[in-house]
Amino acid sequence: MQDISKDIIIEAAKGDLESFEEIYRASSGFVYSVVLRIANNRHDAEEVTQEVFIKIYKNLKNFKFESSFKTWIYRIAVNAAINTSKKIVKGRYKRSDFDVAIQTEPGKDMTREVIERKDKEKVIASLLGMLNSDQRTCMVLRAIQGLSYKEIAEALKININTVRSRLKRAKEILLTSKRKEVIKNEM
Amino acid sequence: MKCDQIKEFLMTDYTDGELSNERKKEIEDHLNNCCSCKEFEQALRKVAIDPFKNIEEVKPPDYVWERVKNSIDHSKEQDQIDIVPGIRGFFSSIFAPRRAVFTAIPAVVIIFLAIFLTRTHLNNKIMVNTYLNEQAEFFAYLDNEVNGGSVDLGTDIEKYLL
Repeated sequence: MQDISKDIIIEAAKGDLESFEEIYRASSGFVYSVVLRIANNRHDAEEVTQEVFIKIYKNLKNFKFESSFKTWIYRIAVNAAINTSKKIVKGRYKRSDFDVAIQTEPGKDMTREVIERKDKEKVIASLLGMLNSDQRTCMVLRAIQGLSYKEIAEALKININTVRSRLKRAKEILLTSKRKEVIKNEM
Repeated sequence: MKCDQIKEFLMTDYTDGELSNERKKEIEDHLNNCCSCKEFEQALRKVAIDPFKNIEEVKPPDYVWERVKNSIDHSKEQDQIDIVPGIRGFFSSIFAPRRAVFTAIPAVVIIFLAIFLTRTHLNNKIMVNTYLNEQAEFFAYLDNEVNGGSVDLGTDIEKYLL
């Protein structure tokens, strides 16, 4: 996420829509990506992104620069994403999504690059689908968004060791799943 | 360091870039000398690290910003239309269905007290008037009887005074 200057934040807090749009342009990619990967649904991601920015706009005047602005936005976005993902019925993330990705034939108009990107997205969705909400959130923030353990701990308001243990557990699950797949293929 | 500890670091701080250079060197030296840990690291990277690398940030569609902007403009218009939001809020709180019970109870109590006090006052007035009338009748009776001589006053002093 791009850095946002203090002046822009102050102006946006006063209700200046142009300044707020700058905040939106700088941070909407992060917010949308995080929500999309945690919720794994484009429609939900669009709605939640919209709600997040309306919430940011309404609460800007309460932001006192006690923490970093990025951390504040991370917190709002991640909480919204987690709340949405908890509403999703269990079993919506299916291992079969990965199999479908392999079997689907590409359309004629799609370039190789686009096909590869789409396939990669499906692989990621499949991998993240094996994790619970907490593990998935930490993996998205660390492995995709590149946040440090400290930043993740601040965004989620958890202990840094909790971040570490969730990431460890997430990787164990992915490893175990891959081993089972290898064994299945060998049989 | 033992292999279990190395694997712990491989799954967390080492692959996530959270280690000091010194500790990182220690692990790399171990990996260079331990096939089991080296294989573990390779499997881990293949499944849990590499797939997530170089992922493009996905931008929301343009219409999301339009919706955000419209929502903000709409709430600004609402604030302007509500010239006296306090009064509206006040009446809303009075007539809100879930508060009807809490509004009705004190109203009933006040009405009841008013009726009770009014009736009590009236009753007292009636009692006083009745008493006065009875006393007046008694004195009138006495007056008639005494003047008519039918009442025997009994004692000499009473005869003297009258």
